[in-house]
Amino acid sequence: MKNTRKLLAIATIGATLISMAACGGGSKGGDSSADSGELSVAWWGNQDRNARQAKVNKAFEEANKGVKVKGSFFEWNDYWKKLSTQVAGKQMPDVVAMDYSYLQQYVENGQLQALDDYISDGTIKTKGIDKNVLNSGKMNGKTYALSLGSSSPALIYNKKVLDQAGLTMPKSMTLDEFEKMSKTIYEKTGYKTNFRYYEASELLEYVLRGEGKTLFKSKKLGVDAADLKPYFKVYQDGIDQGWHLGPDVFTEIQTGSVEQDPLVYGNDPGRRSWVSMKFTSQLTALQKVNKDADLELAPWPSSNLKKANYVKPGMFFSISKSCKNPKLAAKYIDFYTNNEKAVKAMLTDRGLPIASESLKAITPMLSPEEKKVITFMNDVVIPQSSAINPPSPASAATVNTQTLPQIEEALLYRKINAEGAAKQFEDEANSSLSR
Amino acid sequence: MAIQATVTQSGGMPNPPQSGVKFRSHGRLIRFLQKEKVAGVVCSAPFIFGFLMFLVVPLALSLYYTFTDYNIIGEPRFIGLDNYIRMFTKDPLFWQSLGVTFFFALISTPLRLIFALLVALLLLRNSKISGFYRAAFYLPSILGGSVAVAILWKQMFAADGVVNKALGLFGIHTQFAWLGNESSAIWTLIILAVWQFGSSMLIFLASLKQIPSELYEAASVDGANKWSQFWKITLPLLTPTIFFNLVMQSINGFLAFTQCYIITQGKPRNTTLFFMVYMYDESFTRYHAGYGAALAWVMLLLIGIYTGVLFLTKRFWVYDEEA
Repeated sequence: MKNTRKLLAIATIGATLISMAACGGGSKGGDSSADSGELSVAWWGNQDRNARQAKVNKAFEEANKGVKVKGSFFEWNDYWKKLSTQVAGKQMPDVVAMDYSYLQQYVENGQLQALDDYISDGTIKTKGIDKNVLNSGKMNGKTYALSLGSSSPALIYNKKVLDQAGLTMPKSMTLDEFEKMSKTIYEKTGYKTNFRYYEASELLEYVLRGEGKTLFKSKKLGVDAADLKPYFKVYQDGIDQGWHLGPDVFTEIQTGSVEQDPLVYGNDPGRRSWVSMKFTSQLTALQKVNKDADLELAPWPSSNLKKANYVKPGMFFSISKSCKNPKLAAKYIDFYTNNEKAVKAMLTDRGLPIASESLKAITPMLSPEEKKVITFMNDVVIPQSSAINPPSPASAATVNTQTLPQIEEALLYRKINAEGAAKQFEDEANSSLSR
Repeated sequence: MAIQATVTQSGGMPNPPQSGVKFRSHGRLIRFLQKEKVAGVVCSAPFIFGFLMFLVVPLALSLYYTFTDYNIIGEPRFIGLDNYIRMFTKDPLFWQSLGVTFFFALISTPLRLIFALLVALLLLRNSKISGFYRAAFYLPSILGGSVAVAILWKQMFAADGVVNKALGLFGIHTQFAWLGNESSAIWTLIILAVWQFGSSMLIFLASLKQIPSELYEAASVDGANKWSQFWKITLPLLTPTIFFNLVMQSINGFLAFTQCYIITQGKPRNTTLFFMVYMYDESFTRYHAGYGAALAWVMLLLIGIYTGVLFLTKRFWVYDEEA
């Protein structure tokens, strides 16, 4: 009894000390990580991209002895949740992948370091990079992000299904023509259509651009219900005439994930889509999921291709405010952009490499899909496009993740019609934007 | 069995003997540490430290955030009661998710308890393999909240999933999308919750064993059959356990997250949108962390009221040994 009690007391004190020591040790480790040459890098992506990025990280470690790259990746949705909590916990990774739609928010809140010093002292070499591409990462006169490649909106379709239906893809099409095509395909092959259900508003924005209108102004919408109706009408017609995928299909998959996109995932044509409204950078990953599908690219439907189409400065890399060794981080970004090994590992996964030398280096080793992307960008998009809209305001997140998907959902469940949907979208979006 | 300790009513334990044990003292420090007060403080220090750092401070911070517009990546901006006003007057999803959550908790908890009690009664009999069954039935409550099971559940209830295939064996051929239908989707989550009956079952089992066998003997001498023995003896004596399970399990129900987040994400049409998932989305998807914090505090308050009301009803139906 005597001994047990004594032992217990000692054990408790010991445990306390150990746990306190562990706490101390942990935080110390965090501080010294940057000095000892550890670099944390975070990005969003799919299986394919993660494998490629891991190769880049390894090559960077080999080129810089003593440096350890700690990569972490998430799917698009989870990435932004994780990143925001890391910011709150002052644990933001050193190098973070940034998107055009979030850039403004992160810069305004002072979470990113400007890259200008590292560009002028040559750590990040910008030789052979187009001025427009460099400017796309600029805000308030400073460069906060370097584009990793350019891409553009692309209607990715399964050519096998089109052949089966006896159709060919035109150079461009209007919403009406798109509807007609979807209907024919459904009647002839049984394959249905996924317009861009439950995803962000890029397609809506694109359709409106074709009409010469802008979806998001700073505190309100730049359009009214009448402008919005044609977009919602596609869903209504699709579900009424039976050629749009039912909403139940989407309850069984992870919406927005490339791996479970109805274009490539599933067996029953009645639960598959012949088309997916994505970006050129997703072609390779989509094709990898399903080798049977014969995927091709075309522009999204709109009434005026030149007005609607745009080149998107793909993703960006930025250096976080909390990065302790920004020089090393800048080196990493440069390595990603200009090093031959890195460029060859990534190929066109994040769009075409921005440095002309890098693009030259990879051209001979491109896969058929990547060649398709280059041809599409060069022959279709670049000659027939106009400048991208300014980054959307932060409050657009509510519109993109809540308002739009839920109205589309109500449409497919036949709770409202296109007219009601347009009106509801106008009201709710304006109220969120003014918040 | 260690679990029995949790259900024994207080009062039965003899007071521990006064500490007559004397330590041989080796020095001032040891003598100081061995003072009862000091030892108490030292021994509870890790807990107090953790409680302050990981509970009280975050709690206070989150209460402060409820009065701010806080987007996580910037600095919070004080806006007074705006978050609360918005919640009660302008946010239909608040009411929707609240309704779904209460429906889920208030349906799944009683179902789970009934199920747990039935299985416990079956497993009460001691046989060679009853131990195995107890472990086997407990398993779902460890696994049930996990991501893997949630994904499995999603596959099972898919239009071409196991559930429809199993129905096919009984001649019901259907492609019914359980998760895609506005009325059936929530039930897939309720079934998942009921399936996790293991921990309530173990607690029932333990307290069933506590019921003195003399009572049953006396009852059977008086000619009571098994049925009335159950209603007149077993159930009344179980009420304290039922009460405990009811409180704990419905709180779990109100705070359910994984099932909705992985399986349905609120689809279809927000009919499965759990309050916690809505709070999470507001905070981390739409970066309205101040509003999210306010949602959390409202839920805390509601759970407090709910538990309080349950405790008030206690004296009407819960058996009290001391009374």
